[in-house]
Amino acid sequence: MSEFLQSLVVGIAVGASTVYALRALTPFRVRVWIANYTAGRLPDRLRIWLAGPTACQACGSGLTKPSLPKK
Amino acid sequence: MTDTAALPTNLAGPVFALVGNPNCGKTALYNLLTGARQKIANYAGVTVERKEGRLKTQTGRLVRILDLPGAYSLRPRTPDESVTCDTVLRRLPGEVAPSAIVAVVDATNLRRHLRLVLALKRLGYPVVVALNMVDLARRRGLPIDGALLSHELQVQVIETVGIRAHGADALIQYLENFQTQDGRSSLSDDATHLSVSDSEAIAADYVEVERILAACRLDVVPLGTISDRIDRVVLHPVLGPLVLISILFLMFQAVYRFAKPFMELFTDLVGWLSVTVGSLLPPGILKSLLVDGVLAGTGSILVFLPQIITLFGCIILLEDSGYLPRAAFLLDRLMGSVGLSGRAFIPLLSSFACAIPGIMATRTIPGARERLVTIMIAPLMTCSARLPVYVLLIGAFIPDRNLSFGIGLQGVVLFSLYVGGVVAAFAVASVLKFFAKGRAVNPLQMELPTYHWPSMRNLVLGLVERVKIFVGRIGSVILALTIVLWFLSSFPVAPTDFVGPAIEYSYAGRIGLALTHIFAPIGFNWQISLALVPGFAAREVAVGALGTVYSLAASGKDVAGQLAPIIAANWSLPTALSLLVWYVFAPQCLSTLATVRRETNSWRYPLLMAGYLFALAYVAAGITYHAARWLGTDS
Repeated sequence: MSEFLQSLVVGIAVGASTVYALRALTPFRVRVWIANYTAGRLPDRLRIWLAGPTACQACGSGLTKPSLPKK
Repeated sequence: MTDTAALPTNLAGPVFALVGNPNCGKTALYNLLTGARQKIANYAGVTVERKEGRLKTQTGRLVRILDLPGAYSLRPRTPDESVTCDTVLRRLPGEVAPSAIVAVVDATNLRRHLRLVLALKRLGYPVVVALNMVDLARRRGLPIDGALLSHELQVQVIETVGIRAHGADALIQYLENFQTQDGRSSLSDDATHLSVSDSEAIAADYVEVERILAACRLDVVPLGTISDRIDRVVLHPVLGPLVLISILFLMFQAVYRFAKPFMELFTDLVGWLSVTVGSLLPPGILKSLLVDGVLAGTGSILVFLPQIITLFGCIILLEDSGYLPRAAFLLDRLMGSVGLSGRAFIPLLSSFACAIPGIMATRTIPGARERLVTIMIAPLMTCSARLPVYVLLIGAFIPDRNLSFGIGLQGVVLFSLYVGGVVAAFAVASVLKFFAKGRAVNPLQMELPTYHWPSMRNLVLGLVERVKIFVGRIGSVILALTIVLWFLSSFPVAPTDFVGPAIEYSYAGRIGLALTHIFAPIGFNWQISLALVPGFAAREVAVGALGTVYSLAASGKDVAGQLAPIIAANWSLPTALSLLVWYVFAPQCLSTLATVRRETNSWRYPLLMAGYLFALAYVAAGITYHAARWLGTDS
């Protein structure tokens, strides 16, 4: 495997992990605010992902996956 | 709840609310109807919030099922009872009123359960009674006759066994045939008002229940059951506490004794995987990411899965048997001395799994002050995320030897750490008691359920659920943090003329070295200081972080399975003891703080909690470190 390809795979893994870890460390309300703010700017699926997945703990609704935040 | 956390969008189908006294089997029925796997246990107060699920009948009809917290009456005394009352009394904005009520009653204790059924009838809803646990009632010789009870109650009665497959088939048939137009149109605001405030009606319910029981020949209280005989020993003033301490002690011994061979198997497996992946890939950053980052980080946490399974297996067995409320009863006097009641025991015990459900379980506590104190001390109970840290450090620094009677020293140390958390919680509660002088503690009133043989199905399902949660965390947030930490530990690459280990030149090394200014006085090196940071997301990540940092420093050695001997060689005993003590009191993860914020509706308490726990952990770890050094244990 070429050095470039290795760097590419590692770069994607580190980038995705950083976004994932930041989401895990960001409070639910802030994530929902971001999801609302990005309405129309980002695809809905991405906004749902941004708001998720600890909504069940954070909002107490008992949901395992949150619905789309209001626009 | 925030207004943006929207409810499910498809609201089609009639809504059936499962309502009943605590511990009558509502959640078991809910799981049976909807295929959900909500936690069930043999004590009151397991469900503290509204849950919604769906049932698709054989003809394709979709119905919605609400599982509500247990309530003794429609006059709520605790926050969890309020959820139920607000739902059936239509006080929740945006909540659709149930089409009908499924009143779940425990067939072994109709005297208490029927009062709520009568109160629900007065609300005007269509009510069907799910006569649960009929198998148990008949085994006890109670002449249960559903048809006769239905005649006396003037509502349909359906026999169910919530813990058995097909135990709710007749109820599903009822839900299938239910006509929505029969429903809530008859519920008036007047009826709702009267049902809550009319104390004469409540007094009349007592008389009516006695009449129904007499008509059904159920007015005889069975005496001398097996549960009564067990309770003579288990609740004995002297024997009872001894039994409790023995059970808890054996539980922590089992964590070591039973799990050890499986842990060694996992260690070998992770080590083999690490070597295999390393041999398949050419040298480079991808190999380093997979071997030093992913496998060293996540593998060093995964090896503790057998301990987690053993601990939760023991807890599920205790929950299912009905012993836990007895433990709460035994501890009531002790807890009363620090301003709590035995009712706080179960939330605190839940916190041994995770502080979040423990904090939510405080909704069963009626007194606001007592509930707040329980929330504030819940993180001092050792959650399962701390178990990997404990097992790693004990394995590295405490010799594996038998004391006597097959009791292992490592198990004793683990037990002591758990006890240390409990003692600290009591000490904090004692301090908080001084701020509430003159306020009475609510006396303990708790139902002691009948003992059950633990169900193998519950045990397996509960363990599968815990394994899913543990492995799911490793595969998600822990994996992500491990990769980020690998990056921070690998870059920038040290120049050739750099003196010292290359990792100290990296971002992680610099962050760790900066943090040592804070943590060096309590004996932490820069690797430990660094590992504490991702530990705020999930405490067990600290072990993964140490795995990654030491793997990179060890340049290709098999660290994934061998972290314990590496830290044993690099750390002094005072440092290890200091870190153990730190984790007894350690500030909780961010999710716990968010839960405290939600449950107390204020930022004041989570900030206060984070502050006092940090101070407590720092001071206690510092004292331990310096005391251990003074005693000469670092030589």
